[in-house]
Parts: sequence; structure tokens; C-alpha cells
Amino acid sequence: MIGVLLGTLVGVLPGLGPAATIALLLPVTFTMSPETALIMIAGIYYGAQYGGSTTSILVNIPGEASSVVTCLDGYQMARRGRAGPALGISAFGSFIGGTLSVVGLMLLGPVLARFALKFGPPEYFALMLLGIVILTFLSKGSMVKSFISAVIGLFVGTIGIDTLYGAQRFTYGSLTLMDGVGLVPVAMGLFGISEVLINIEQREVRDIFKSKIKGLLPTRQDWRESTGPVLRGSIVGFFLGILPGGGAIMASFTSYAMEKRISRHPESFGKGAIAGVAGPETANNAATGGAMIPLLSLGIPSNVIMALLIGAMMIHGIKPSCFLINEHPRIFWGVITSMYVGNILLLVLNLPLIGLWVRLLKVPYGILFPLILLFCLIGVYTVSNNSYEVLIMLIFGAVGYVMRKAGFEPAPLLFAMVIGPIMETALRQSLLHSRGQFNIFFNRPISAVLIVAAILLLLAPLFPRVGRKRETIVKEAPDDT
Amino acid sequence: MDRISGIVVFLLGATILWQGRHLTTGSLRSPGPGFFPSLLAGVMIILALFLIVPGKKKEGARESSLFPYIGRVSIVFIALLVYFFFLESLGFIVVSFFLMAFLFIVMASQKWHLALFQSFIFVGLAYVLFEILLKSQLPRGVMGF
Repeated sequence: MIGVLLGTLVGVLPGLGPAATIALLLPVTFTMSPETALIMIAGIYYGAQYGGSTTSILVNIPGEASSVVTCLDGYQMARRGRAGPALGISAFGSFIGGTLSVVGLMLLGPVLARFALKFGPPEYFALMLLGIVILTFLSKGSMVKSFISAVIGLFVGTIGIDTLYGAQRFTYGSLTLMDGVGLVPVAMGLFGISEVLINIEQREVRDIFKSKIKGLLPTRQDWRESTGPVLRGSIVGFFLGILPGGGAIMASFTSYAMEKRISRHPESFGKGAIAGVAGPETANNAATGGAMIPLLSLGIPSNVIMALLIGAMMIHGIKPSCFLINEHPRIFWGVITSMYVGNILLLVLNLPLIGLWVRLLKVPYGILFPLILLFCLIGVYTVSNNSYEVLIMLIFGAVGYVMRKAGFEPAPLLFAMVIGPIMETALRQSLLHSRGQFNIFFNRPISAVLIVAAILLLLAPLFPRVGRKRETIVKEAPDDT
Repeated sequence: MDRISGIVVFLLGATILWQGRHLTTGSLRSPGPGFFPSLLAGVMIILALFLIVPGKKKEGARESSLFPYIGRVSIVFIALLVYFFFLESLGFIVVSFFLMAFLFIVMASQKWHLALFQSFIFVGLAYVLFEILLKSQLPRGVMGF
């Protein structure tokens, strides 16, 4: 419950997306038991997603990338005085999408875990490569730059002691670095510190909704128009969420495009069509259930948020893998339960509290940002009571700032840093097994399919039509994926 | 800007290759600890060339000049570095108090007495939350608090 509240609180604030929110609140979970911590993190994630939709509708600032589409019609609805139904349908749609996807997870998770046993090192390597490629494809800006960002992340993941040979790599004698570069300092630096540094450049005026928000409940007409989008959004979201790299963003865009295409009044989209809010909002929450599948059955994160979840699990001593269901059933089912509970709480807590969130947006940035910085500094110190972690965070804060100014996205770096060690081990094991032959990746069917998909996606922007489509998708996306 | 980024990335890749030269790369049959870092450095260098060699300008590419706001950003960043340097020696309370006051003055353009007061309140609340309630063991300086 606290997780949902905190998540919405921070998610409502423009500029801090779910990734930054989770990174900031991670240290708070250290003192808890693993199950509680994961439940709280799941709560934070939902809360942050919902908070992102609230700002999209009320202030036309998407809280995170998957809420961009909500801005299109949601804000228009608000301008016509229909902010209430927009927020209401967003909440209900998110609830239904989230719940249905949890059901899907519950049914498919164990099945996929068994399937996952067929995954050997080549399949793991291929899947993670595909994940990186999808993430770079969907990141803002040039794919080359996003790929560079990912490669830097993979390199950062190699710092420390090599797991196969025990050699020290790039540690320069530092005890802190021998353990590897920590997830928390990097996440907080890249998303927290650098975000604040970027924001202090601007003194923007926020166009906050002055009028009272009345009538939160959608009308019967609204429900009629939304039922189809909600159901379709759930299915689309769930299955797209499973794909590594894309998840919620792809889900919300696909849902919007689909609804526009099958609507009887496509011209109303962009001017306040409720289907344009219902579908995408449902889809992006449904994607969270789908995104959990690779995490809980294979131990592979499908996006940055899941990468942070893996980090949190490892901090609590749990190694996510296909054996998670058997070795830590309490964790697996605990996370599932938390998702149900989280969804319900989201609905129950947030609707009455909308007025509060809007008032929160009025806190001046000049007060808010120093507090965020303080929070980051304390949070990262408490990871291991080591002030050098603070230095690492600051370094990555500077790196993140420079990267964003130069047009490089930070999300691929963090994602790659988390999966880097797994990817490297998979690659080296595959080569050991095949005695140096690269065709092991193509001889095995699953791995071959994944690698071919990755190569196709890498080459896709070279085709003008695909390149243009990609530009449209990523153009409006805000900074944090 | 792209070209400068490309050169920086190129140099980064070259540095990784140079710094990792004592790590055994091994062979394809038996990759050593230096294998993956060298591979990554190679990929980095190749990708950097894409940035350095001018291609067609992409419409809507996000580029901003670093310089207009670098002063303000640098001041805040240096303040954070100073915070790090004195954290263990002066302790959490003292360093945070001064940092927050400084930030309120710079970022919120507040008068110094209001900034000091707010800093006192917020640092106090943070101390209660993290040290007392969450038992985080924040650093105590040489003065013992």
C-alpha cells in the first residue's frame, strides 16, 4: 500500500519516471524481507505508471514513455471539462488490464518456466541481444547512439571480478569496484541526479489545471465505447509485454493505432476520444504482467524496470531463474498476489486522491529538486554504508547529464549493465561448448530465430518506411523509457 | 556535436583496449577475461566511426549546446562533490545542512535565512526518518554526530 502511494506520489511529478522512482525508493526496501520488498516495488511500479497517466491527462506532460499516447486524447478530454471521466477510465482500464494480465501470468508462468528449461547459453545470449536491439530501436534519438549507450552499459557490467577466471577487471585496486559497479548508484545517478541537473536549466511554467475535477465516473456511453478497447488492450498489452526491450511503450502505441484503425470515427482520435485513453492505458498496465514472465521464468528482465527488480531481488539474495518457482515459490506467488492487491489498491486509493496529486504539482521545483538530491544521496549511501557509492552515483549523474545533452539515451546503458554479466557468461559458455564455432547460435532453432529477429531489427531503419515509422514512435517519447 | 561525441566514444573504446591489455583475451575456443571487454571496445570504436563520419542530417535530432547553462549545473555538481568529500569527516547532519541551504539559495533563489531554516527542517526530518526510524546508520563525523 505504501508502495502504491509512494509510487503515485513520485510518478505524478513530471520528470521522474517509474525507473527513477524505483531507483530512488529501492534503498527504502533494504530493511524489509524479500517478499515485502518485492511487493512494495511492484506497488511503486503501478503507482508510478498511474501517476504518469494523471499528469498526462491533467498537464499534458507524460510521466513516462508509455503515457505519451494518453496525452493525445486524455488532455483534450480534460480541456473539454471531461478530466474526470478520462482519469476514471484510465484508472479502471489500468485496473482491468493489470488484473487480466496477472491472471495470464498465473496461468502461463509455470508453463513458460518449463519451456524455459530448453533454454541453453546460446538461447540466453540470443534473447538478450534481441532485448538490447528492441530497446535501442524504441529509444529516442539515433539508434547508433542508443546502441553505443548499451555497449557502454555492457562494459560497465564487466568491471569487477571475472566470474569464470577470477581475474580483476578495471578495478584499479579499489575494493568498492571489485564487487562490480552497483546497480543502485548507477540508476540513481543516471535517472535521479542527471534528471535534476537537466531540469535546473529550465524554469518552465507549468500549465496546471485550475478547474475543479468533477464527475470522476465515466458515463454509460463512455463505458460502451471503452469496453472493446479495454479488452483488446489487455490482450495486446500482455503479449507485447513479454517481448524483451519493448513492453509497455509498444503496447500503448499499438493499442492506440489499433483502436484508431478499427474505430467507426477515426477522425475523433486526437480530439478527446475516450477509446484513445481506455485502450492504451489498459495495454500499458497489461504489459506489466507480460513483462514479469521472462523475469520470473527465465530470470531475464524485459525492460529497465524489470532490470531494477532483478537488482532488488539479488540484493535480497534471490537469483531469478527458471527455477524460481521451485526454489522460492513464496516469492513467485507473493509477487503475483502483490500484483492483484496492487491493482486493487491503485483503484481504491488513487481516485479520491487525485485532488491531492494535482496540488502536489504546484510545489516549486526549487524546493523539490534539492529534496530529490538529498534523497538520492542518503539512499545510495545506505546501500552499503560506503561513501564511494555516492561518488559513483555522482559520476554517473554527470555521465547521464552529458549523455542526454549529446542525444544519448541512458536507459539502454542501465539495462545492458544488468544483463551484461549474464550475456557474457552465456556467450563464453556457448563458445566453450562449440569449441569456438559461432554457428552454434544458428544451429539451434530458438537461438537462430532470435538472432535473425535481432539482425532484421538492426537493419530495419535502413528501409525508408520503417525508418519513418520509428521516427514517429520515438519523436514524442519523453526522456525516461 | 555528434562528431565530438563520436571522438569521445572512439577514445573510450581505445582506452578500454589499452587498459585491458594485460587481461588474457584467450581464443574463440576458450574466451578469457579480456575477451568480452575487447569485443565491446571494438564495437564501440566501429560505432563511433558512424558518428564521426558525417552522414545525412536527421530531422528532429535532439541536440543541444552544453554551454548556456553549464555554469549553474556545474555549481550544483561541484557542491555535490564537496558533499561527498566531507561526508565521512564532518558527518551527515552538518554536510547535508549546508548543502541543502546552498541548493535552496541557488535553485529556489531564496533568501539565506529562509534557506537555512528550511534546510534545518528538512535535514532534521530526513535524519529522523532514516537514522531513527529506518536505522540506516548515516555517517557521523569526527564530532560524533
